[in-house]
Amino acid sequence: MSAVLRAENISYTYNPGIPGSKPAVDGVSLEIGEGEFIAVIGHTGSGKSTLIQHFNGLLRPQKGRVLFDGQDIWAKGYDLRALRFGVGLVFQYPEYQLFEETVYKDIAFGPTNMSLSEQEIHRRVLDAAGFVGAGQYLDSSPFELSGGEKRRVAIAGVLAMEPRVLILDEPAAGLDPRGKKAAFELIKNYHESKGATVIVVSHSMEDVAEYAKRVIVINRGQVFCDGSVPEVFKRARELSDIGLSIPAVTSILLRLKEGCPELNASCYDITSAADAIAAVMKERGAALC
Amino acid sequence: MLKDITIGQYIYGSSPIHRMDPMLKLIFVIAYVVLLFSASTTAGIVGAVAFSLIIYKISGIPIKLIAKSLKPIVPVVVFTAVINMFFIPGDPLITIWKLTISRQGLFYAVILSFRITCLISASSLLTYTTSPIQLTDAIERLLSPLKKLKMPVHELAMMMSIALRFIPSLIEETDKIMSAQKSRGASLDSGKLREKVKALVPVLVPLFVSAFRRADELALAMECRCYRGGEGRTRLHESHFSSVDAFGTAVLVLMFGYVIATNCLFEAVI
Repeated sequence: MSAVLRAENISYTYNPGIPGSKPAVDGVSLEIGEGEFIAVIGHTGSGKSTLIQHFNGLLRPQKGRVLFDGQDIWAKGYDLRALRFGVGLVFQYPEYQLFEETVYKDIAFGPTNMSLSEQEIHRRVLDAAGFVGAGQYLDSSPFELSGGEKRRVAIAGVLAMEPRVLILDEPAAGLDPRGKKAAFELIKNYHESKGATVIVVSHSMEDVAEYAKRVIVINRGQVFCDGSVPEVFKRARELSDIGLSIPAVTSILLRLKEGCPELNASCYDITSAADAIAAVMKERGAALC
Repeated sequence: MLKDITIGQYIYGSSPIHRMDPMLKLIFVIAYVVLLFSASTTAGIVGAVAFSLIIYKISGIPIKLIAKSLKPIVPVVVFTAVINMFFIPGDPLITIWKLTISRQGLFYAVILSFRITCLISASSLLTYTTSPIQLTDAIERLLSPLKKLKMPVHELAMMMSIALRFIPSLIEETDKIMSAQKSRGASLDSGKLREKVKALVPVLVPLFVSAFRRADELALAMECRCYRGGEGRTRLHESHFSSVDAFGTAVLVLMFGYVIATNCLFEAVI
């Protein structure tokens, strides 16, 4: 697996020089491999949104380098616009960025900026709209849609650029459980069908545990831990100490573990938790009722 | 980049100037301007300039900031000074072609520059030491006699405070929308004028939509809290005439006395 994005010791401080300003990103080094599905977790103000804005060149690190395909994106003569077509960033509450008269035109905004051919733009718009299930309202005004529909159209606007790396900042914020699931399913579909690298930013581990392969926990602008989902969940106690909410299942298992230390508490979904509890009970010879 | 804009320029502090009743401060600034222009002797002008320097010292506002607030008006000062220098008749000093600089003209130019400088620094001191909300409150109280003439004074002040309050929010919003559109490949800062204007559409449309949405939500929230205009409304911060205010009034009255005295005793220079 080769690294598509690499951050080398980057730091960023908002309003440097003003007394009391702390770095939002403080010496972060990361390597993002081609085709990975990564969750970046941190509580509000941990610097996760600041970090991802470095990945498509919206913020320039005050220290360190960001490399895309091995090239420094802030080197002289580097085409930042081309980078942005390769690394698609979906902002938090992206529905507020809609502006065109029709959904079709809005989704086509990105591909049009890429100066693609008429047919290619058409294909991509239909493709992206199909992905998010917005096919039936391509001709309506984006402002007539409901909140969830707007969100999906806005995500389609980025998908239509077919970025190799897709970054989403809290894509499920403010959605109901069903909307949340739909959002993550469509991200997963994009990841699988295009083989794209996906980075999802969230403050809730419960939301992303099911989908991400690798979890990066950010705390106070630094990488707190980085590993596969079970690896990170083994440290669930530390995570709740830094103010992250851990899935309800995991916290129940942690409580149970106090009474029976052999329990495997690093589960995050109900099925595997049930299996873990069953395993312990079997071993102890307790009756399963 | 947009975040660097600071509006209102209020600088937090707890000096006597900060603590003074904002309405009184507003009146004092107006009175000081009258004082500046009524002083017609050298002693009077020097006194008025010294007075504003002392007030700055008390307020604890760094002198550097006066320079910042004066920078934009330097051309105005220079322009008025030069014009006055040539057009005030009197004893000729220098004659260039058909233009004559008189002694009185030169003097007047210098005094005028001092007056404008002091005027600007006094009014910027007001915004440095008074928060925008305090200031609109002060304007409301100052204009409240006009309520008798059916002027919607409270509503005007409320509109002003809402406008001021939303400036930072809208700047932040603009920043966010610009970043989002840049991520979609919009180029906002290159190209010809025509293209630049066209490139603004993806930013302005969402900004307007969000401004209207905010206005709607705010109106609803105000109604939910039973806001129905200024009628019978009490204030959170009642103002009391404090010792600082009394002292300030006394100082200003003394300043007026000083200027009137110098005007009577000495020969007017202008």
